[in-house]
Amino acid sequence: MIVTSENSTHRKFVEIAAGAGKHVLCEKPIATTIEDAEAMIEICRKNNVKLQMAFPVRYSASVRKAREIIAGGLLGEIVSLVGTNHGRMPGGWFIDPVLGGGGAVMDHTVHVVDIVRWLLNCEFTQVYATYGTMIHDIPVEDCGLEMFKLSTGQYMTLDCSWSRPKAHPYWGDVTLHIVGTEGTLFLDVFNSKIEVYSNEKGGRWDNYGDNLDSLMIEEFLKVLREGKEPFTDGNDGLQSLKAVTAAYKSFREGKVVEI
Amino acid sequence: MHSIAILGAGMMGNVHARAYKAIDQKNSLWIVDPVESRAKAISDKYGATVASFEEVLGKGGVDIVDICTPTFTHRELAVRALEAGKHVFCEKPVALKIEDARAMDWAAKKSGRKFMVGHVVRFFPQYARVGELAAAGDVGEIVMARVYRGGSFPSHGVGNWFANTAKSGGVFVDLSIHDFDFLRKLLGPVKTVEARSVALSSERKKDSFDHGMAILRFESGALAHIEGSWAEPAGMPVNFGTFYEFVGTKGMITNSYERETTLRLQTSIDGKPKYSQENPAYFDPYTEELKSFILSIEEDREVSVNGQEAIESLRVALAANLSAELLRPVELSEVF
Repeated sequence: MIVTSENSTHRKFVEIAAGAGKHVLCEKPIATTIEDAEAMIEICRKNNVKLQMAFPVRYSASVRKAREIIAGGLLGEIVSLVGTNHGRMPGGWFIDPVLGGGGAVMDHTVHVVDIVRWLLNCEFTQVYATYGTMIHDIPVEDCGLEMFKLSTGQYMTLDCSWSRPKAHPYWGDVTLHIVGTEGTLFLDVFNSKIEVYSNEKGGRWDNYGDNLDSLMIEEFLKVLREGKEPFTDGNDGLQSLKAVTAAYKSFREGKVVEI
Repeated sequence: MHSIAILGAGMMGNVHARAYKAIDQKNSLWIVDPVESRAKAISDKYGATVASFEEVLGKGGVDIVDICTPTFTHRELAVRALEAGKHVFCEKPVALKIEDARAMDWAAKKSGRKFMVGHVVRFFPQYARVGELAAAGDVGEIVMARVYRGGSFPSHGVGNWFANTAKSGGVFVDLSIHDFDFLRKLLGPVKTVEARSVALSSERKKDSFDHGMAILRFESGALAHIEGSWAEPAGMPVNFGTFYEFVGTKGMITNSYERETTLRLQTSIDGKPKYSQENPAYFDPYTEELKSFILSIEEDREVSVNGQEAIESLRVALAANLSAELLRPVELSEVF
């Protein structure tokens, strides 16, 4: 069963699926509360079904190559990271505080957190976040900036804003600037773009790169066929959600908080 | 026509000498630098007269002193030049501490002479255009900004002074201050700064290193992310770049140095491959900046970047350093 419902209803459907003995591919973020996420992992474990998280960015060949470069020591010691996950304001249930569980911070923090956890074999330990409803007249935040500390010692900022205007030729981005003592690496995961100018439809950028959703679903099928563990699993969903809930807490308290 | 004493024959001294000659070929130049060969180079190239600081202070004909020396020397040179009745142009950052900058600003007020600080980014056309577009309202009210400024470590400083954070202030005070100043001008006063930096600089290491990230919240509620870097490896074909993104309520404005290339050159001479990408232009922001300074003297108008503004921009940079040191968000009101 593939769960692509509203964030706060993931638990309900995963519980039904697991109870019926179905394997689950679940959209990100895993849930809107830590309690829900932990319950989802537990019920899948108990019913002996797989729980794969939909973190398509981790299936990017560029991200994989970055991991090899880092592991190979080409950048020396990694000292800081600057990430972005920009997008357009999605509307619909995404801007419903209950169904979405939040706004841009809930929607756009987890992708970059997930790839960095994998790239550096680390966890996120602290966060300071500031955000606001700056652009649109909506009940949730549309812009946010976060400062994270990683268990491996580095600091990382993340811009999780829905700040791409409708007039922009592309939906958004996932980028990561990784600074090491011997070199730097810049990832722009969705930069495989051609420019299209249509008198009828206006200008737009069209992506010709690998389809990361397809790669992710192929992996899910492999998990089912071969019985292996998912590449992006329930714990990955839980850990990245912890960074999100701590970010909200940080803003409420106006200080750095532990994740 | 003016008689201008340039203090410091390093990179900026050269840029300013060229600019003064471009403004008016008849401007007479003096060059002051403890390193004789550097002073002589500017003397040969721009017809400047080599002199000591005391000599130019004593010369009644010298009406402008232009300070292009390392930051930690600014206060004393500026205060003495102002006290001697000279108009003073001072390179950014104005100083390393607020009290030093205040002393300079006070000396200017007391002397009644003009005092301007070199926040030249305001004169760069791709930045000036942002101000014009913001004023025109094309993208609505600007509520969020991302800016990057960086490249390899500036190892050209005499005695490698950039590597000593006690002398340069590090990447926030020396480099990102350009962006702090521009953002302050565009978005108003800063309220909170959360920043981290990794200064791996050491005086012994030529290829030093510094990287900083800052999150600002403005009094208006606007947010900004500033990245300043002296962390790119040395010897790259492109060793410096800037990027910006300004998001408004009705659109956005963005630009990257990677898109600015109007001329790309690839050569292989004697088997040595060379690559460069450039954007040659007749318009020179440094000339424009100094032209504005000279006009403020000639027409007795307020300078375009005064001491008070430079102090405010320095406060933001120092708040970033304080936040990085204390590992917590810092209110701008904590820095005074």
